[in-house]
Amino acid sequence: MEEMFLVTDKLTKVYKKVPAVSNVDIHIKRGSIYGLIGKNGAGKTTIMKILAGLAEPTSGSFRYDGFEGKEEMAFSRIGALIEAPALHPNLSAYDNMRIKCLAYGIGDKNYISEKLSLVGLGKVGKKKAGKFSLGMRQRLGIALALVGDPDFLLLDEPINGLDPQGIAEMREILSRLNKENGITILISSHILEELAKIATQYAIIDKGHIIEESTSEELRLRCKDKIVIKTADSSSVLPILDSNGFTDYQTIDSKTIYVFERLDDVSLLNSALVMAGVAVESISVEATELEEYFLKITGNARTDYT
Amino acid sequence: MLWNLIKAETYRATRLKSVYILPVFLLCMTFIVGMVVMRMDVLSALGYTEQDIEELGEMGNSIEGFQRSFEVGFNTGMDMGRDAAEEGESTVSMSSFWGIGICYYDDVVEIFHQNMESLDQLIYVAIFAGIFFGDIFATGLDKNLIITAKHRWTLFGARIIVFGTYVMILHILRFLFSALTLLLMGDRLWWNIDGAAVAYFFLTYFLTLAFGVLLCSFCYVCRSKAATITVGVILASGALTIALSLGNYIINRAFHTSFRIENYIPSQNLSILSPVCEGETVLRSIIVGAVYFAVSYITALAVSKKRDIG
Repeated sequence: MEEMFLVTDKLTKVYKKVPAVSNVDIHIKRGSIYGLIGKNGAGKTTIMKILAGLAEPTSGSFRYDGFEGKEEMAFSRIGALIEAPALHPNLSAYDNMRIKCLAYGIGDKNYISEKLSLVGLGKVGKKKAGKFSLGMRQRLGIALALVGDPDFLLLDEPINGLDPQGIAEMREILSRLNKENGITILISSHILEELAKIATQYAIIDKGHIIEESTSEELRLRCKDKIVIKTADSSSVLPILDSNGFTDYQTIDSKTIYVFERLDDVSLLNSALVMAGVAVESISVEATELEEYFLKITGNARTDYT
Repeated sequence: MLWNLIKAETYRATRLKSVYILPVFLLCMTFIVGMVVMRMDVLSALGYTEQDIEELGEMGNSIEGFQRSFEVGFNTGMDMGRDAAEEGESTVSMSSFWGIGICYYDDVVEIFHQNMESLDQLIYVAIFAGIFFGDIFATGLDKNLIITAKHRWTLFGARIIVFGTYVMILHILRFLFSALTLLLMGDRLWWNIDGAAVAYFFLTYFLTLAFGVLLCSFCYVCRSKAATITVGVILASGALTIALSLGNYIINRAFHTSFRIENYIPSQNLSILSPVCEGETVLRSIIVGAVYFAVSYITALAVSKKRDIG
């Protein structure tokens, strides 16, 4: 059984009688990269703020393994980039880093250069952070999060503003930190395909509720290839599927059915449907993207912001 | 942790340009105050005659300082000429603004007192408080300091220590600048630093710090740099004088007392205090400073602990 690093128990945060997150239970394994997936306003940032000690939960609790009853010790081992990076626009990257290093009792000036180089800001010199591009600010925010060599990184939309090359570099940096330094990472991103490339665990959150928590393997199975049948009336298809021995299928809506097994039998299935007099609009084998799966599981509903 | 945070906050403070600009303004203002009190022959400039002064005195006006200044102005035989006038009358016309002012012969403690009385130092403290504390919310700095998530009082304490240190530096500079202006504009550089003078120095520092912590508290509540500086400058510039007078009038009419609101405001106590104050005034200033400091400190700390960061 894998060792848990962080466990939450019914975490709830209410702002002015409006719940931002409700009864959130997540279980992050030590050494994992945990992807938090959700729409804007779903509650991802609130969860991260609570876990970083920046916000107090209205109810519920969380526990970092190995720090029972001593949250302050755990907080000294956490690095976070939540929402926009907290930077002094009139200071250089070095000065921004120096402030945090001093607060963490780190006096070695080479340490700052190392961290800046790690995120690709080794040569920015005295350029003020206020003149950085969005991508550079994100990089500096991650460098700041790495000060103190944390065991746990909380990264809220860390690849926002990065160009494709920057995203690839960031993915490589995070993978390296995870594999070589053993840092457990909680990461949220709306670029789901990117998240899918590095995350080993997932939680899907919608309207403050965790809808699903899974490993990358489990999610891969859910996003597996399938036969997609489109007809005028999906209910007329179900008896045909049953009579032909198909059991792993799902009705998506009144016109669409997914079949997750025997993908090579698509011709056979098509023939059976035609012979049964079902008007097939289309039948094909498709692969579900993570994004599609996410939209399906969250109901594909329009987000109403309050 | 406290020491590390003090070092971090000190480093942050030293990166603020205002930290270096404010002493320049302080120096300029000290020179201006010095010129007014040491080199400006106020009464002569206003055209008062010796006879005017006597009449004002007989009418019960408190004109001791003016009279002294007047005598100084007259006795130095400045470029004043008696204009021809009708028989039995004489007027004095000013031909030079500069001469020997009311504090020309005073020591550095009195020059420092005249500077503190001008209250302009509170404006610099207000600007620094607004920038130093306002930056925390403008940048979201505390999001970087997760190590203090359960030690917000330590972080707040470190900030107050750094802030108080800078206020003390301004205070010391004010004293040194006062000495410099006395050297350049006064009769001679001299001082009579007794116990009362030392007490005055530290009490004015304490009141200035209490004023600064009040603004810090305001900044933690409103989380706005601009609002903090604006409120600080309004309080420091005496713009509330009319409101205070109105308040006094209403209270005294309602309760038939001689209550004065300004006696319970740090900035006004700062202007009332002097190195030769009576015990009651000193005691009141200590209590006012302590109460404002404590209430402001606790309020800011409570807000910082209760509110979410970011």
